[in-house]
Amino acid sequence: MHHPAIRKFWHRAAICTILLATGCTDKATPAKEKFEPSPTRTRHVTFVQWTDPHVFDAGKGRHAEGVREEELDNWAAFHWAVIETNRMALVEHRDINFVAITGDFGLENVNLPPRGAFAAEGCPNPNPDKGPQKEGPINRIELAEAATRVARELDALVVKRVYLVPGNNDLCNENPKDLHRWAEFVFELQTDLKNLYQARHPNVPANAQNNPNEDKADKGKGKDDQELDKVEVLDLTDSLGRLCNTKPPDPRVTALFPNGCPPRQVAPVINGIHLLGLNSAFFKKHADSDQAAADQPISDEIDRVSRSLQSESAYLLFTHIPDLSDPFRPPKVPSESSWYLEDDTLKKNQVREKWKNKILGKPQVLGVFAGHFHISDRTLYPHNFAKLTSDDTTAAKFWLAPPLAEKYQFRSPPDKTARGMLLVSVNADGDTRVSGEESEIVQPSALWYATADQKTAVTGDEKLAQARAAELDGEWEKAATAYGTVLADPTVDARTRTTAYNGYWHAHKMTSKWWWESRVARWFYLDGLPVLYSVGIVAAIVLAFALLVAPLYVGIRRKIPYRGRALISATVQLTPNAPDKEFAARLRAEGEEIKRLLTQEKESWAAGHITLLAPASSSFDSLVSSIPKVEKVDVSALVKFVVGLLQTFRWTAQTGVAVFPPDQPTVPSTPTSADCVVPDAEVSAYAVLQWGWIVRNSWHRTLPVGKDRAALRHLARELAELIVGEGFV
Amino acid sequence: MGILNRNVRKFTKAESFRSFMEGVRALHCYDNEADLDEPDEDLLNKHLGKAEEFFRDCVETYPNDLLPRYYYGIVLSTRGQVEQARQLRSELEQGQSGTSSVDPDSLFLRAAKHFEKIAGQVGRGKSGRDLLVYAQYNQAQALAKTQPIPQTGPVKTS
Repeated sequence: MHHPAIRKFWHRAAICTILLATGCTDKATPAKEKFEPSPTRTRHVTFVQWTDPHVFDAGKGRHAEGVREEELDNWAAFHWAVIETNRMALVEHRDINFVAITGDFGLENVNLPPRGAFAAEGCPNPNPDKGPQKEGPINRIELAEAATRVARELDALVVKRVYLVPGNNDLCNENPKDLHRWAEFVFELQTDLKNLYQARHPNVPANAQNNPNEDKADKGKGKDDQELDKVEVLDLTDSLGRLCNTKPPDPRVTALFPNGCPPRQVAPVINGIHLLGLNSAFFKKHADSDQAAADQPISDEIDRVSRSLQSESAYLLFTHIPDLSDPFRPPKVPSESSWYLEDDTLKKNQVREKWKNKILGKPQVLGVFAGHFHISDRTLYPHNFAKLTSDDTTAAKFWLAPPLAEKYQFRSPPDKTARGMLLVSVNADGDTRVSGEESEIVQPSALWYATADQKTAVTGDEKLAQARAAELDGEWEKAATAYGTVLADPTVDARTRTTAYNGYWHAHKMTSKWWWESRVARWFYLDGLPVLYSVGIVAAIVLAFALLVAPLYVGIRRKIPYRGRALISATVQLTPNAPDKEFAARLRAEGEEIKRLLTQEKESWAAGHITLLAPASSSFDSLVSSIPKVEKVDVSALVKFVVGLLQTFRWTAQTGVAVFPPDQPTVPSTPTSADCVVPDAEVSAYAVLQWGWIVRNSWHRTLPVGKDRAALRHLARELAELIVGEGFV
Repeated sequence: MGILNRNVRKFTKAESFRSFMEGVRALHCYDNEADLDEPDEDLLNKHLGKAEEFFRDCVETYPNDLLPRYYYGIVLSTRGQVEQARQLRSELEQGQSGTSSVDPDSLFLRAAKHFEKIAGQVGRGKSGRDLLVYAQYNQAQALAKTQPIPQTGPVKTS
């Protein structure tokens, strides 16, 4: 009988299976929130999947230095996987529960040591393609050294649970009878890791160990993952236990346990999710002579996994070879699965049907995570391989990790390869996300391997540049959005993703500041400085103008001082019949009067300066006009222009006079009288003292007309005194 | 202490010069009327009053201008002499101490004060030397024309 909560769980799992099968995922949008671990640890795991490191059989099919180069490259990728996983755990604070390595270390190229009565073993022909231009793979090393090298890598992991399954290149000729090779490697690896830990912690008993089999989270110990203090490696296929406990047991494996075989391994359970391994290392098609030897182990392996499934649990299945056709197949080779099950030829479909119906088709199997392929098409990973299978369930439940190894991709530039790992977040309700982020709105993607010194432009660099530009402009929201866009892009590599992640967090932190949340303060932050710059620039221009023009103006006034000597230009008649000539004459006469008065006052010095001159006389005009033309050149006009120009650059008093008639004329005007200076009228005049276009001063005065023309005289006298007086200022 | 090397013939504004010239013009009219055999006292008073008004306005509005102040002192001294003469005439006609609407001594003292101020303001430079001498001379003349201070007690002799 099912518990109601369990029934709901299966229901949702079924729905999500359909969603995955139809490729229905949320649309990519920029990440907006912090990547917090799931609030509930139950039925939620996060792990990274590495596959195909090929560190021991590197260089297959490579020539000359390429063999060693590939070995170095594969180890570099393995280092990167460790460092990148640690970075995600430490820098991005991701709660990564375990690391799954889905085989193909390349153990087929490793020498097994002698065990008891059994001599050392080496795979006779791990590379049938070896030839004159294909010297690889690299030289074989001993199993102990191989395990030590891998142990040193894994010992540096901050994620302490490592789960393994064997790959086809971990068995000699993919022979299931060579499984002890893998089991011995796992044994040596576990021993080395214990020794490394023991060397660092001599006071800890040697038999003290983590217990990854125990579902600690289910017991309410929320920080168990962090409390794990040493790396523990577990073979999800339990090769050691099975080979030791089977009948007859593998003699090389029993030699490892002189005190008796260890108990059969229980599948680990993390946060309520069971982890199973399917040993598909020998699932590929063998030579006819060997196929029969593989058929039964394949069937047995599927039976074993099938028996492990319980109806009330959720499972993740890890294997090496996926049940997909090889994308590397030649064009004319018909599409067929990489799994060669016995009934494929017999057409009975018993094993395959068992696989589909009793394992893959079970709703409690949330996903199958595999590797094996080395194709450089990034779009294939992790879940876009519908063309590699005709089965919908297979397309929905299989997830494919890109290889770490350079194998078959050495001709491609770094940004065109498909190497890396998967970061996987799984909800036990069946909603599986394989991605770089845990947000529900993020599309699945792989984390692409990039060497630290990779300089080639990669996808996302342009957006990073945009984000960086926004950062420099202080536009933190735009920067966060741009970085989020990079993070949501499934094609960016790990380096770009790391940069984007750091940038996103920095931008996010900035937008959390009080001055960003305050619109006014933000305006000052964003626009205050430019406004200040603008004001400063305008002020500087005004100041520069003042500094340049003011001294120029003052300089001109000082260099050309006015001492009371000015040219009275022709008075402008502002109103009809205004006595302009009379006014100009009176102006000059008053100038002479001032001179006379000052002379009488013994102020001869002052009197000597005062001269109000008349403009060019008519006699001068007539003289200039009489200059004959020289070959159509009007010399007189030229002379007049020069004289006019010279007169412009001297002190000149421009004057004008106007007479405003009274409202009610006391004396009726007669048609013959043109004089407008009549009683009760107003006479108004102005004077502008200037040099060139520089005005020194200007005055405007108005006086009422009395019974005589004295107002005109008084006005002329006042303006004359002001014009002359300016010379004493 | 006056402004060093001050140009005594400088005016603050053209309007200051204009007021000054109007005062000078009125003073000339006064002189011309006074030179007549039988001057008209009303006209004399009118011209002197106008001159005083222009110079006073100029001094009050532009206190740093020296020439208007100097002429203002001249006009005050002249008015002091006129008032003194009127007082004397009144004494002669009535045989008693005459009374005047304006105390001549106050006019002399005001004139002396302006001359003193000019002497303080004018620089020691060549341009101001004449005005300084004239101002000091006129100040002494104005003070000399004031009534002596009456003795109120016995003079002590040692």
